[in-house]
Amino acid sequence: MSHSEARRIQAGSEEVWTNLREGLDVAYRREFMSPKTYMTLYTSVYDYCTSITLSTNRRDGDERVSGADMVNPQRITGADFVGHEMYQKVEEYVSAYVTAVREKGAELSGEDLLKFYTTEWENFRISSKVMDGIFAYLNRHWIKRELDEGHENIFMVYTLALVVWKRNVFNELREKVIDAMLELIRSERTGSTINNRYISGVVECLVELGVDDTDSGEAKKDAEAKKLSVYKECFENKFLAATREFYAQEASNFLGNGGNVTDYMIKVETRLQQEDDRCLLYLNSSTKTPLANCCESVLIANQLEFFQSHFGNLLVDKRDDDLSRMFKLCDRVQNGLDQLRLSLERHITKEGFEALERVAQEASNDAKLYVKTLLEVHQRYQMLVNRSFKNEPGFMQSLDKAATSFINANAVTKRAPPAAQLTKSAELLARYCDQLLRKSSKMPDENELEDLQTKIVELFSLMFIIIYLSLQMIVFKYIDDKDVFSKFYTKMFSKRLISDLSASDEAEANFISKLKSMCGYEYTARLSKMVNDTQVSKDLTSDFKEKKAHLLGEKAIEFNVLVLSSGSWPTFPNSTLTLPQQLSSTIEVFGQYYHEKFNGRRLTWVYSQCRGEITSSAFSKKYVFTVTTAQMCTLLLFNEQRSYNMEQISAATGMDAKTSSMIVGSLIKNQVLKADVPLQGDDIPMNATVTLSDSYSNKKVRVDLSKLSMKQDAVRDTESVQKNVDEDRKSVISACIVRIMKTRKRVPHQQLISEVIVQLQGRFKPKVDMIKRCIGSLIEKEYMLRVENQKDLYDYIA
Amino acid sequence: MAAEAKPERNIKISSSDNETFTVPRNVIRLSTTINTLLQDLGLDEEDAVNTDPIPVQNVTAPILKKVIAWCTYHYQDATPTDDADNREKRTDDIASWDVEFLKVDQGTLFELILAANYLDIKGLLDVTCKTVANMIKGKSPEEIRRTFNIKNDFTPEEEEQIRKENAWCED
Repeated sequence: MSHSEARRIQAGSEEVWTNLREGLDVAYRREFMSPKTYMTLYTSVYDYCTSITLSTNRRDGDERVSGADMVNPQRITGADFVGHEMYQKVEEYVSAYVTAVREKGAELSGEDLLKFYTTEWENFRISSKVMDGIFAYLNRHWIKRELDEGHENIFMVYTLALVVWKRNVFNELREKVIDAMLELIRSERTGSTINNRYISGVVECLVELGVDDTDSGEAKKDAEAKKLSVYKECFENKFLAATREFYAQEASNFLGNGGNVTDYMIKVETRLQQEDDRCLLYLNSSTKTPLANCCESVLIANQLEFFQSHFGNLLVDKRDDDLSRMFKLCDRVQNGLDQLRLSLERHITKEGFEALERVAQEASNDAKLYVKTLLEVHQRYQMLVNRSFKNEPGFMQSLDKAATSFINANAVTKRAPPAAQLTKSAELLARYCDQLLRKSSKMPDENELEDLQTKIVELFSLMFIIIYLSLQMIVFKYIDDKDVFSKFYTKMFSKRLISDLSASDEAEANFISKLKSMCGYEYTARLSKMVNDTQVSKDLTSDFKEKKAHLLGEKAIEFNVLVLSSGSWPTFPNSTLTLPQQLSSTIEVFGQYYHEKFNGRRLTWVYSQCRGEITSSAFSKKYVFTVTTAQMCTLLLFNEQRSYNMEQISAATGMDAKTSSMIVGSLIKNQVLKADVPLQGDDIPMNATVTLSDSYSNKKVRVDLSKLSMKQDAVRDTESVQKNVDEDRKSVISACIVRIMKTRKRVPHQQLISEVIVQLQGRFKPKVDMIKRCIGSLIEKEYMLRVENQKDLYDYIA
Repeated sequence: MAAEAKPERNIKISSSDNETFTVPRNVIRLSTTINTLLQDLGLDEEDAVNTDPIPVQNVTAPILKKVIAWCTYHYQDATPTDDADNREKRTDDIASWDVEFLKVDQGTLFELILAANYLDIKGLLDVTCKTVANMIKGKSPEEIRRTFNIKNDFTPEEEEQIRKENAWCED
């Protein structure tokens, strides 16, 4: 570039500006601008800036500029001056333009104003972009250097345009513009269709005006954060306030007119959705959350009491959809669900109590009905929590709490005698398990061999059992005193094993493994040992039969032996009984065999648990009777003669008077025997004479005579279990205390108590006074002692 | 990019001495000046009709030709990210193609710098300036004056004064 050229431009800076102004006029009138014009303008800016820089040497630059630049005396180089002059001219130009715009818009309001503002803004934006392109060289050089040096109130040309717009148009019109926007949104909320372009236009403008013209120094550093400051400050805050007011009004109108809860919830859902859409459609996306929060707080949080007051009714009316709706709405606000959880717990507890109240009479003795009732209530709410409350943990907890309370104490347990109230639920559950796992009495005896069909039925019942067992585990989960359950269960389980009454080994094993997974190995160790005993016994019996058959003689009776280890099984009542010779010889041989095999073990025969079958040809047709040992001894007597008096029977069988009258009573009830004196309750008086009943007939060939006496057992079982539970608990607690003492050596009283409770809560809830008593007895037995002069501190004694 | 799917659009530009060049839109994109013009004037729109070439008033045909050649070679380069600006500035990282390309006489090199500045082609401006910087590097003031044919217009006193002021960078 030659020197002369530069001087020409220098001399003609007025002329340069005149040309540029004309170009800007074209741009701001949005007229067609040819590339040639554009390039000419760009080039003139370029030349203007570069030529001065090139042609101005330091020395004469100083002279020329000093004094001319009054605004910033420290700016002393030529390029600075020229750049600044051009910058000011641009600023003046834009100011003049936007002032004209503002004057045109001054009288407008409402939608007209919005239309005007958005249109003018859009035009201004486009024109300013063109201007920015034309002045690109000024941006890149003079302005960039000013910015790098940290000068304030200098902006890139486009930003400058925005700043000027903001100062002269926006700040003047903003009250009216924002009000018009809010009014427009309000009218859309009340159902009118609006031109949302007016709003989105202003919103875009507000976001773009986020340039900060006040404190540029700091603002630039966190420009990103401040980008939305104008939008937030000028619009969003007011918008949210208006929204709050609008919906507060709407909610109070709706509820004031007694609107129902379902309609309200649907309305709220719709409104929340609409606001979401609104934000998406024509607001800045950053408003989404504050807007939602605002609506939620007015429509939900402020109305929580209203929701809560209707929650109970919805539960009662089983309006699961509405419940789900309420859950979703209340879930959106903080602490919105707390009250609902409490209500749910109260409601389920109440439902549980009421359900059992209705069946209390029958369910006390009907384990199936009892468990079924519990399960029905639980299932209903399990489903509700699952479907309507999305398995929200708090609601699951409410269900658990409620289930625990109504399963452990309810109308049925209240009917039990005071001592048995705590254990009633566990007992009934165990009883129900027994019913399920026992061979179904519905299976006809004769048809046992009708294999195929039966097997299919069995398969089905097996599936049924497994499903039911898993449901039962639900109830079991809530039983506080799992040791009580275990007591009952063990008792009934032993009965099933001994009498070979289990419907399916698989189902038994399945149940045990479920117990194990819920309560641990220790809990089911005994049950497993019992199963094991019966397995071993089977092998033992067949081994015995194989090896010792020759010792039994020709007329040997068919039999099976169960050898039960005394620790694992419940204690059985031991009765004296004189066995008939057929039985006693077999027993003797087995006894010898067993002692050969296991030297040193003591074998005790538990007649009370034995069952036998006898075939009778005394009646009109042949019958096979299933009987208890005592019944068998009694009936076999009638092989010798047709009638006995009670004294004779008692003497011959070796049973005491009470037992023999009961046993004979059971046979009379079954009509196998008859007496000359009527029964007193279940027993026959000792002065009676008993005769074989010739007229006995039954349409079945197999008849089970042992059942009657078993039912009587059940009643006594319950009593003895309850007595045993306390004793057992004491020993479990003592063992636990000793374990803790052994590891800790020295423990304060309070800690000991709480550790015991924690360790044992999986099995039962130990009572504090029981733990105290155990501690007392352990001190007496010198397992531990009180530390002298120290209150409530114990030492372990090794 | 959507533009790539469409048939390549060509842009006509003309030099100060009225020679017209046809350049693919994607190549001329490297000139921020032309690129901004196309955007500002709406010439990127589908229905834009513009038959007149864009006058590049400050660049002569031979130089414009070189500039276009450079852009054609580089237009597919990855656009440098912002943090490239913050990286340490080096002068020894000129690509070998560029080194070859810039083996031109000093006059042409300076014309290229001016053109790159005028057309706002950052990559070309960088590489040409680095080349000049390399010409200065390691030379004494006298050598530099010789290289660029500069007349020493300092008085000996002035020169002494400057030397003192800049003593810190002498070693």
